[in-house]
Amino acid sequence: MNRKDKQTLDVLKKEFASLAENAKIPEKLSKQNVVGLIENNNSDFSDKTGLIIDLNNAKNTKKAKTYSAIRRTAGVAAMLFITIVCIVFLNSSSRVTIIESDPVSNKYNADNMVKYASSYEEVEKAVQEILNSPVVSPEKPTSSQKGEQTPSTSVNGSSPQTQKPAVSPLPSTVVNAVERLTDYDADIIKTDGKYLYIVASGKNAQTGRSVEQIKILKAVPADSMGIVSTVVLDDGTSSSGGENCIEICLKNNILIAVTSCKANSVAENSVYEKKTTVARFYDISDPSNAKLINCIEQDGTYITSKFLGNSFCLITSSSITSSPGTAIPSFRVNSGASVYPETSKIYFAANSPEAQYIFITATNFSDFSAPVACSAFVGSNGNMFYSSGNALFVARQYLSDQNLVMTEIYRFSVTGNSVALNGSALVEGSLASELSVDKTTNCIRLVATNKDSSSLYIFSSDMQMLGNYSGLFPGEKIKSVKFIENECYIVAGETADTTMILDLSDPVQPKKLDTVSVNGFSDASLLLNETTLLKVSISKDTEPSKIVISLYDLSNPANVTSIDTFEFFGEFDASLFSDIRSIMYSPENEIIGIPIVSYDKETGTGVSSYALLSFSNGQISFVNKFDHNLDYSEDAATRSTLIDDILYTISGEKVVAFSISEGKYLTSIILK
Amino acid sequence: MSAQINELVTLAKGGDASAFGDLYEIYYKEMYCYAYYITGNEELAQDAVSDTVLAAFKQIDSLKKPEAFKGWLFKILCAACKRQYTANRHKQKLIYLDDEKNSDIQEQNSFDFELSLDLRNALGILSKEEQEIVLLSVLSNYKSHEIASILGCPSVTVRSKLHRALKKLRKHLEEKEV
Repeated sequence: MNRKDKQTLDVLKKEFASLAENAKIPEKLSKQNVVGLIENNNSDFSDKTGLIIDLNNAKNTKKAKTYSAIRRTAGVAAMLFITIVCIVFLNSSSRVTIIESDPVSNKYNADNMVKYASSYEEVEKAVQEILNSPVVSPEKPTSSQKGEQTPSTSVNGSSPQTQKPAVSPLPSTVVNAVERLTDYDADIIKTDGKYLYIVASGKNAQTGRSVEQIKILKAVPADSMGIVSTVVLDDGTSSSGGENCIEICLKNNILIAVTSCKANSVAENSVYEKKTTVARFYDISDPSNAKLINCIEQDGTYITSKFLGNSFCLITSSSITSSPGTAIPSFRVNSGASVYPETSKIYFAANSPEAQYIFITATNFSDFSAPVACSAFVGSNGNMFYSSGNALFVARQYLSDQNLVMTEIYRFSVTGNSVALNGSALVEGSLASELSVDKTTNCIRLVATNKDSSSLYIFSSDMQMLGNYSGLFPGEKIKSVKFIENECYIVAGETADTTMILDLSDPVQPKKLDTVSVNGFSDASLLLNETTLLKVSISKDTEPSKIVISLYDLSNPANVTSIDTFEFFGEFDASLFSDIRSIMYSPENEIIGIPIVSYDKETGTGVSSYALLSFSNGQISFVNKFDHNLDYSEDAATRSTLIDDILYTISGEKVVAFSISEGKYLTSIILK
Repeated sequence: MSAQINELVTLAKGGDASAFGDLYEIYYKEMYCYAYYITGNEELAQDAVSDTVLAAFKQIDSLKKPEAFKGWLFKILCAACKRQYTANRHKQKLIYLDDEKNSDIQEQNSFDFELSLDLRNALGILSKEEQEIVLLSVLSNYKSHEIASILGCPSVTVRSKLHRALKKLRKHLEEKEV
């Protein structure tokens, strides 16, 4: 919304708030009268007003109710009759489509996307078939993308059989999406407004191995900030492997720490490195005495974690090899016995399966004593994960028999005691966007790109195709896609950004609204509210280079306009923007914090800072720059947080507190 | 507050009129103000609110999510106001510029006429749909997608119309100042 509109609305709100507060409600509408009328079901009321009460235009009488019921029944019968007639007269070879036909559905039978097994023997057999199937593409994804169980050197000198993946490495847009899959609520630092919880790595002086900890700092008051306790995840004494804390999150006085673990195991004269993921739950009602209350360890490399309703979902993946015990994943609660998914909860990809699996567990966050639900999907390690409500969506990309890149999307329903597959869809091409769920209609939206062009697809909540818009940006690479309410902004263009805006308010018939030439939807961007987008980018075209912060007004989707721009000049480190969580965003204070590492070319020194900017009233204004480290030395602040008037900047080595109003340094704490 | 509302909705769904009365008390001022400015007439506004309340109590079983109560209630209110307005156009209050007539009307109204005259005239230049959108945004702080859901139109339409309506209001009020 632009500034003038916002100002006008604020004025109106003030006027109406005062009116509403002081309005004298007529006696007829007093609570007492209204309750009396409701209780008596006084039909005289409508007589007094001369107006109809019931929205179906039926008088509120017993006779009218009966008549209304008869009409409803007749209406339903008529609809049923019409439906039957339509089915009888339709050509049996064609489907009733309400959108233009999707070429994919003519080539593949989407109903056969998944296979099931009725016993563990069948599971092992199905896995063996996958392992024995011919390799399609010899290229191997990088280890940062997929979990692997890679055998190291064998005891007797021979190498165990390795399984090569079936598809080419993922395009970078989807890899970036995978890296950003983690729920923004999980991070390496968290705060509850009084304490800071920070993942800190160190080294055990005796063993030389890395130590993984969570430091809990009392942050308020800032001038007496100090570490109150340390949660040790890995003390560096274990010889079998180590743990690396990936992220933490806070919910209801419980701190969840997710770590990845490596352990070596010996089987059939070969040494195997096994990767598992551990989620530990700590009661932090007394932060100085965090208590471990639950622990779940599951097979596979960490992919993502999500809160779905009352369930904490942990999702891992792994390769399957011919070594024993790798076909079916399992989990252990509080170091107990291994638990495997029921056969009815093990699903197999029917089309071009790979020797990989995804493993999903759901821990009941309200009751840790309740059984953990789980499900396994064999045949893929997934390319993208998205959650909405109680549904978890997994996208899987593969090469078809016709050498086409295809993407399957699976929908898992997560409830208190079950994780179950209950929907699937298929599109041609690779995903150019994350999945987006419309909060009002629960429709699922995505954009996929094949070799010719890109297409937008809209599915119902149960994964039925509703509509699509194809032929987008033929021959061009999609740079970014954003779904904002009922609009889709797609950015492409070889030299300058072109943004196409699609109207999705009718999911059956998405429409093109406009195509604009405005740079606003690629690079790091944050939706500040429903009509304002913030974009942060580094421009290396100027000398010196500059960081550009821009605000865009989306209130009129057919006319996206730039509201304001702010620029910093200097030599900057672009890598800080690769993680959107490094940008601190405080909506209540209308402030953002941008991490900056600026270099002095002559001296070679670098200063790590956080620049604070205010974006109130549709304008970006500079607040202050707070220097975290005057001599960079690879310890740059990558996170910051705001508590009241205090800015805390955090790096691997230390936490520094600044007073924003006074613009000065207060204190710092060393973490290692 | 939202937990309390959810609880009251659940009780009202069970037929508890007193719980429904408590819910009504939370929103009745907002409802009456909205109805008054849409219908332009106190009597019609009272009828619209009454119709809404009775219809809502009868149909509260159809409300699936208690947290959606307010939006659902206002949806019924919007429909009731439309019906009142359409059926009784002749009863619309005229806006008088004459000071003598203004003071008579001021005595009858339960609103502070002095405060609302400029605003009411300004709202009068908007179309009915624009009035609905502005009032839902201003009175109830609804966002565009919520208004879209209440009025049954796309949110892009809501945003465009709100933008146009605010522009018209601004222009009208600036001209009045001059």
